[in-house]
Amino acid sequence: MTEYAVRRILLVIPTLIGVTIVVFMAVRFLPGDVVDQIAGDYGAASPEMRRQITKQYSLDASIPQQYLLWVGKIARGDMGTSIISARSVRGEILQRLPTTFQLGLMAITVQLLIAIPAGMTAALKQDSGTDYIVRSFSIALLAVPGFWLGLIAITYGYIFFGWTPPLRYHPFWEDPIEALRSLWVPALILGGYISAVVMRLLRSTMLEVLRQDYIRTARAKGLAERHVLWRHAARNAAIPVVTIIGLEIPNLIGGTVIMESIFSIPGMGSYLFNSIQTRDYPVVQGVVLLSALVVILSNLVVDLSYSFIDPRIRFNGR
Amino acid sequence: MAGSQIEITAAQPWTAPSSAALNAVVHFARRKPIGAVSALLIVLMVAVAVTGQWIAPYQYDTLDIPARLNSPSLTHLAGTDAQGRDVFSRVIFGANTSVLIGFGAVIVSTIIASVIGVISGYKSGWFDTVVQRFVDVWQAFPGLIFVIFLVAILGASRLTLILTMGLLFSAGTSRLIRSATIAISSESFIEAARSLGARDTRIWLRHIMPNIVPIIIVSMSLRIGAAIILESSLSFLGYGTPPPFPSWGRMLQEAQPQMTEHPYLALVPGIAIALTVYSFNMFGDALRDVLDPRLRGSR
Repeated sequence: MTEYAVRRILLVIPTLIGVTIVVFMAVRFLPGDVVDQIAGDYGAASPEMRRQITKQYSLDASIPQQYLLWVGKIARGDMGTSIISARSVRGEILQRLPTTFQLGLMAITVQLLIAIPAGMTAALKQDSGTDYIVRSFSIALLAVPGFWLGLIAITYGYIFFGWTPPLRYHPFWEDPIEALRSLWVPALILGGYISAVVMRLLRSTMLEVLRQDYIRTARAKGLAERHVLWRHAARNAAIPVVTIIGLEIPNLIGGTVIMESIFSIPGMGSYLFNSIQTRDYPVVQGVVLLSALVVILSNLVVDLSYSFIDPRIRFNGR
Repeated sequence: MAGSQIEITAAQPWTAPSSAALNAVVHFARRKPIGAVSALLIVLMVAVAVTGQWIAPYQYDTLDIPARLNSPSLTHLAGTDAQGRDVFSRVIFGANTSVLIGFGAVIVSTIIASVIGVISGYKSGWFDTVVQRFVDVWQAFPGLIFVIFLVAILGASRLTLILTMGLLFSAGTSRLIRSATIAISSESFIEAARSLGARDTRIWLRHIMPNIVPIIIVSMSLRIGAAIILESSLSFLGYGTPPPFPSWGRMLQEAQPQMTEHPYLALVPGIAIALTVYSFNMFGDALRDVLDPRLRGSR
């Protein structure tokens, strides 16, 4: 177990190095002069601005040196300053991160609330009408674009369920109820979308697990059906499901970018989106790097969490 | 146009090469009726995409300002948009964008993924380890952000979209192909081919590829749906196919200001996307059950 964990954690290092190189180089591969690109339309002509940018990015150093300097700054939590607002990228990100985090957590909650009951029911009543409806519904959820549902919710939300996107989003700690209320529609759309895959996978793994000998043994022992299902079957079916929830994180991040830009939610997605439009490269670099870190971290957590869900993996290693 | 197409089909010899293929199609349709219906819808969609410029009642950029924002009628089956363009015709032309970019991105990704997956899986050892670390990095970027970032750098065009989306999808598909290759590489017929002195390229192309074709086809059919959703999302956000050629995603974006009074503007392109993607997903699902039962339940 420990050996596996250490090996798995060490694998993160080359990925991290690769990701930082890609994010660093992407801006340098842009056509034209780097300084012009970074400055964009915002005072590219001013020599003082050019000097400032050259100094800020240490552009007079060699590329490997520049990279090391940049990584060193990132490692100390310094992501540079926005070209547009002249504010620190880190401060802006810290201000927006809680909103995106809240939206993501709410979407995952919705996902589990839909997928677990639906997937379990479909498996227990295999080939019944319920099973058929759950399966078609999950494929339909994958086919309907989230931004379209978002558009419809904005336009007709008030008529259908008395909901309008709020004019101002409250941080969770200021007003938790208002914060939950203002994000529930985008969270529902996002959660519905990412629940589809989990629903289908849970159904098929449950079907597989229910055919195993240990389930027959548990039933033969006279255990209550509830006990058999939750303690013996669901626990084993959970492993691939946890994997897929982790693997859906990149989709979830993409989904938050779309939802935030439709509902004008002041989170990371809309920040990235606006920064790409204004070519605010330090911000783009910072946010893209952070999103990649989240993906790497969630993959790591998924791999390591196997041992907590499945005791067999834990005991095998010892 | 429609007439000449029917003639071409009728002129083809029906029975000679395809009795086995026909049997397979009939068998598939019996076992998976919904999959077969989806396949028909896909064929219809591709036909509309290819023949769009002849069957659309209007051109996609015909402006008719006096007739702007007309509700659906006999002259404009799905009404007109804010510039008086016929929505029905624009949806037909939009099929071309979706089909071209959907198929294009998936074909590009399949080529890249096959090369990487087969070679990495077959070679194994340090070569595989190094290549897989590159794939790790590639997969660390969330898909939508990856594509928006690249499109922002390269500029939006149909070709950029096909290439960047193809690049995006190839990471995941290469993993799939790699694991299939590893499974096949330990089979004795590969060993036999190697001991007969077959070169690596021959083993890859003649012995491994034919065995993983079912996996590739299933993954392609499921990816096309995802590609069409991604293209429409990008166009909706302003990073997709550039105007004036219609894309369903951009039609929805342009409809935004008038949606409350003119719901048809949002309904028609949205339903077009959902129906197309649903058909591809249903077809891919049915195909997977028939071709590759091991993959059932995954994506």
